[in-house]
Amino acid sequence: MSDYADAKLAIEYRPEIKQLATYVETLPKRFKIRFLELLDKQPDIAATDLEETIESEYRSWKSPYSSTELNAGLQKARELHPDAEAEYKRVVEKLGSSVNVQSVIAHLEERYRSVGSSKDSHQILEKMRELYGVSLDIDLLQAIGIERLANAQGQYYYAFNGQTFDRYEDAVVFEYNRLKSAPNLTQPEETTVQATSESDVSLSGLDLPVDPGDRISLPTTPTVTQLGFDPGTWIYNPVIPWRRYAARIFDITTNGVILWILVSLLAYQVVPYEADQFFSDVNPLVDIVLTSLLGCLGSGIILGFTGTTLGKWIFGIRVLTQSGKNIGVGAGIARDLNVWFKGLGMGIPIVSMITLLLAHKSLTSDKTTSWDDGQYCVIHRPSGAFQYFLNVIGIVLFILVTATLRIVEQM
Amino acid sequence: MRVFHYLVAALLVLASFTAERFAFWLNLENEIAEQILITLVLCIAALFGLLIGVYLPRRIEQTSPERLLVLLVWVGVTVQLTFAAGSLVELPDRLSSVRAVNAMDMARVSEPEEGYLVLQGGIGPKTVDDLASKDLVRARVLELDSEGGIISSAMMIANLVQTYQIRTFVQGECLSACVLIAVKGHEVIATPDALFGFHRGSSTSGRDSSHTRYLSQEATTFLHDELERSGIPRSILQTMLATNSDDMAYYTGRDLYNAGVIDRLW
Repeated sequence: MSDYADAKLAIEYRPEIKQLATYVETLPKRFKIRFLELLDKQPDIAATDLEETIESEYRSWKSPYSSTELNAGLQKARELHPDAEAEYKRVVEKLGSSVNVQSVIAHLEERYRSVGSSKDSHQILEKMRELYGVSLDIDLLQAIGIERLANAQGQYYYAFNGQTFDRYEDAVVFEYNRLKSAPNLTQPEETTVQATSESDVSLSGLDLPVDPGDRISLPTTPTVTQLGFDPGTWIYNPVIPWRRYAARIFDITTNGVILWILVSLLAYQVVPYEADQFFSDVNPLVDIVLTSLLGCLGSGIILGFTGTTLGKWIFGIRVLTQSGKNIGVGAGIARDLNVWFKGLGMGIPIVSMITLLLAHKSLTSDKTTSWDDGQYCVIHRPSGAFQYFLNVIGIVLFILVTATLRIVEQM
Repeated sequence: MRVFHYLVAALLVLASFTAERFAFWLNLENEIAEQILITLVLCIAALFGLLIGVYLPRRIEQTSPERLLVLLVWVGVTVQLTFAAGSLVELPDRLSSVRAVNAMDMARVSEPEEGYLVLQGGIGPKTVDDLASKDLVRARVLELDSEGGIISSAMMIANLVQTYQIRTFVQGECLSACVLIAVKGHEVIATPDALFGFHRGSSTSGRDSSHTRYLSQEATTFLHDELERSGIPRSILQTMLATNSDDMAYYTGRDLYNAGVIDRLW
């Protein structure tokens, strides 16, 4: 702030400038700096002129294109990453305004969502060194237990907690997030690293808040990062096959019943005679196969739309895209049909047992299943008293639902 | 939270469930118009429900728990669409059925002497009204001479007969749904050569569709169960199930007396 001494004076002694400063606080950082620069250069500048200049610059920065769609795309690119913004501008400049904004943004999202800022990892490394009381990164690796290994080509890679990382920074960041998410372990002091020094701008005692966009997300590798919720609450390792299985069985039962009711309602409304012929004498095997199929379909829709289902929520599981978004209804249905076929063996007894065992093996050894591999991120609530409580609730609910179904069936 | 939208969605679902009551409340006096109105209400409610179901998710954040509410709206919309689709598909059958019932509803109840009622002709809703308008407290005997009719109307008359402990008497013919009334008499009386007819139930609509087949099946099941409860022997019920709705299996008063269905021969 000492760089803007005259500006500070003007803010302190000119109420209309102080009022304007309050408005400028709501603008992106670059305009706060521009405001201070202009004011420092000419402290007696008319407030209206200053406001007009800032406002005009802000407008042309915010909406440089004549098309609303292009401007909206630019805004999305800005939210992703500064490099994404630059690339977006370059694409529009080179390919013209007729470019397909949605596909450009989708491409940028794919490229920049998972990119952790090196500045972020640097700050986390600093915090971790502080936490472990070491000054060198090599000591930090030793203190954490990150192992340095070399591949056949002599390139180093790092192993920690059953996972490998190309960069040791990623392994440290991973540990940082693990510490944050495990309540019984020592936690780093802060949950979110705030931007500091060069990015902080304050207007003489009026500390300008740092933009929400300046909050440094906690990069973890692989990709559980930048989720749309507090990453400290949910983890992806170690895998939890039994909770996932319980959630699946719960969902198949509840969603299967709800969808059966909807399907039979529709059938009885539109083709009642055929529906009655079908429903009054369903083969038990067909019943199991169709119930599991409908249950998976229902789960897929709910999962794609909300990122979880009732069963998954109770047993603490979420399925998201690599960039932390809901996977979408179409992808949710496709994933759960995959689960139905590859994981549940279409619900056919014995076949189902074999596929479930294979899925369990794959999950415990590869940390993923064939239907999620490389596409979706399955994260879960860490085990603890709350989760144990929810597990019990889930099991009790499941028994109640099953018992109710039996009673209804006998009626 | 988009409270207004959820409220509208809930009201639309409610409208779907109460469309029939709404049409009944309007008392249009025209059953065809009533059926069309029911279908129209269901379709409009479903259409608006669908619009809300499509509109809502676009306005809600990816991670918002409000998305669970949208799922509930979708379930409601699915039910609405189901009702609307069913109503549209069934509309021709319903209209045809209304016309058939109007044509069939010819039976009237006369009272040639005090306490002695005579029901003659096809049984329908107006027959029920006609009988209910009589002084049933004083009624002793209801003579039946009918080729049958609507099962639901016959059941209403049977309930009145049972409630007021009226004797039933058949000396001509009592076919199909009429038997449901006859067997509920406080005392069932018939002449030895009176004719009782049994066959499978059928929908009043003359069309061949899934709905009419289903209704025919349901009507047959209902007839069978109701007659079984009234003591009709299994052999007669089996004959009934084997006789198509456009055919008739006849039994005389004496046959049914011997089978223990009729209490007294006249």
